[in-house]
Amino acid sequence: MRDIFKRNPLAVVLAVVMHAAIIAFMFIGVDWLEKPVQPKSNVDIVQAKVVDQSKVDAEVARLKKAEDAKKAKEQKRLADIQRKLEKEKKKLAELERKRKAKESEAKAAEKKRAEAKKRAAKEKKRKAAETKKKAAAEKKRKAAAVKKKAAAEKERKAVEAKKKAAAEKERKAAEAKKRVEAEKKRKAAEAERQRKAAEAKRRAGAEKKRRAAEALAAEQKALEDALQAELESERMATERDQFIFAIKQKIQNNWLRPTTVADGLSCKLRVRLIPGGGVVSVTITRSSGSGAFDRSVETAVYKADPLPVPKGAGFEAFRDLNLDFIPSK
Amino acid sequence: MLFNSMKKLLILVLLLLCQVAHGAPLTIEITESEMGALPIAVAPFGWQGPGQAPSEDISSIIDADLKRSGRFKTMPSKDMIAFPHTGADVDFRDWKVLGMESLVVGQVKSNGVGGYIVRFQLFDVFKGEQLTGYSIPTTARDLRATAHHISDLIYEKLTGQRGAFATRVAYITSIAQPTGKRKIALQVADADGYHPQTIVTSTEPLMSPAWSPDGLKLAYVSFEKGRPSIFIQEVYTGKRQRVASYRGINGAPAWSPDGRKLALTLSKDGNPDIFILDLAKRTLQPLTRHYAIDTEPAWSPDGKYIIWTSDRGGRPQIYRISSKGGKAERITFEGKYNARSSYSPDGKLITMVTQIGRDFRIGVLDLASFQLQVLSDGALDESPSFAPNGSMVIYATKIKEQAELAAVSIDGRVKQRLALQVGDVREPAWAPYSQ
Repeated sequence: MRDIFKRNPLAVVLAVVMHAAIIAFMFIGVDWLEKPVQPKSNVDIVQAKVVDQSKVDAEVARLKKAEDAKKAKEQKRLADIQRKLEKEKKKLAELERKRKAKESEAKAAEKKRAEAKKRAAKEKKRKAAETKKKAAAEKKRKAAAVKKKAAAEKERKAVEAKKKAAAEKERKAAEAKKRVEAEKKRKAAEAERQRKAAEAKRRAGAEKKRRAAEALAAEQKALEDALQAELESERMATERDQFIFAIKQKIQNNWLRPTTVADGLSCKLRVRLIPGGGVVSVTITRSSGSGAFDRSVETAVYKADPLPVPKGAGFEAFRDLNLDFIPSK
Repeated sequence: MLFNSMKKLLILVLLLLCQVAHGAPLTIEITESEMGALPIAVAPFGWQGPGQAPSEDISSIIDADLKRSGRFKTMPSKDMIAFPHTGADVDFRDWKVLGMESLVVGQVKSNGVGGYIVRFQLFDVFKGEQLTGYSIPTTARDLRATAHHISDLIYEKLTGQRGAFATRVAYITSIAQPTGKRKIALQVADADGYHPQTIVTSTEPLMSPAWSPDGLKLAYVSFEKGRPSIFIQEVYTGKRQRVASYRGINGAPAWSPDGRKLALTLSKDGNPDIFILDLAKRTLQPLTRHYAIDTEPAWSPDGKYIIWTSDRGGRPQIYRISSKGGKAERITFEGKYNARSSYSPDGKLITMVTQIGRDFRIGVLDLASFQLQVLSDGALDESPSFAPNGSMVIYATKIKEQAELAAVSIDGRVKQRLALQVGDVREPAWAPYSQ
């Protein structure tokens, strides 16, 4: 129904209105027959009434009998109907209003539809243009893409080729290098092999030689050790000698020898020292026979006190000293 | 080998750190010595009354003696920091600090009867012990002699050699007289020139005094009779005798060490030669016979040799010959002039006048090495004579045209003019030790 209405709203509305008019005329028309009030307004309806009038006349006659019986009832029913009509009228007005509203609504809708249609067309046109544009753009894009792709491809290919060439070159170089290295290695190996062979050959002789050298080295080391030991003892002796020399110097510098005594005199002293060189005692172990000479040497030692002596362990050699005074002239 | 084992021993000793005693102590040989003078301090002597202190300053005389010998370096009293008179007063540290090896302290006391007692002590400063000390009674007149005696004791103790301070010297003086003539005298004085005594005087030259070995007599040449004669005179008695008065020169007498003979120069046979006169027998024996001049003989201390001056080589040089005669041997070759020689008491050296350039100086010749050492530095030094201990040589020198006596230590370091000289003083002869 709706779809029908939707599809032919005007036809539906016309049909409804027609039905309603028929019903109304059926009841009211009798009353209203003396007074053709509105022949003009419903030409179609009058015509239709004419077609149906025979039926209705028959009917009316038959009904006239029923109707007479029923007149009071009918009256009442008529009133009801009147009421109902009234009500229907109202309803109809309402309906009319509604219809009108509906109509305006429909009109608006129609307008809207037209507009929509127009819009649709426009839209369609726009869309078509758009589509066209889009297509063109797409086409263009596609062309560009193709072009780009081609360029990229070309470039890629070039890079690749380059890369490939480089890789190839590198590979070749590496290969060459590898080859050279391998050659080198091989040669080294060969050399090593030869060397080893030579070594082996030599080793036999060298071993002999080495043993001799080792023996020599051992001997040399022994000699060196001995030399070292000697040097050390010499160093000690040197230190000792230095102090001996210093003592000798100091005593000689303090020895005022009386030239008056006979030549060829000599004298021996035993001197005891404390660390630091302090003279603790001076003893004449062999007199010169001349008191003056003996005294001069004793005095020389006392005047030279303290004597220069080494510090620490080196002192021990100097704790007890024999001093021989033998004038050289 | 010994050295090596000593090295090993040393190492062992070093390893055994605390070992105190070991078998062979280190021996160090001391061969060189200083030959300088010994430092000695003679502290001024004290005086203990009653009465006036004597005019002679004993400590000053000792100081001067020691200093003059050349063997000692004495300390001026102004440099002393203490003046001890006895050993009890001595703090040896004072003197050690001053570098003194020896110290002399002493005092003079009156003996109450006009005489004195001189007491002295000699200390070894470094050992802090007394080396010698005496109390010597003396008189005012002998105070100087006592001082010289103390000097001798100190000198001998410290040098090992007998001192020669208490000895005397003979010499000839010549003093111009108002008459125009000169007064010549043979004098004897202390070795320091003090206490001169006249032995003989003359208006004619007196020459060549020579001490007898006992120190009691002097032989000398006198021209008193107009020609030279040789006399021997006893110093204390003045008794004298003429022993040689030959024709020509009678000169340069020299006593043999035993005192029995005189060697002398005579020209009785023509030119001067050396003769030996036996004093007891009065016999004369020629020692040299040469046409050149031979003069100034001197005996060696052992009496075996005589040295003299001869110009037989063209110039005066010293020759040596056995005292019994024989072959002459020249012993001086250095210099063009060497004369007036005499032996040192030990016979190892001779002293003489030697010409150095244009100057005549005193030299000493070592007979072992024949090294000549020049001791004096004058222009006209003459007549050298050894002190009896050989430590000094006395000689005559000319200072401002005046002849004076000077003494020089045998190492040439100390020279000193002798005091109290009047007029020309020549030909000193150092007396031997008195017997």
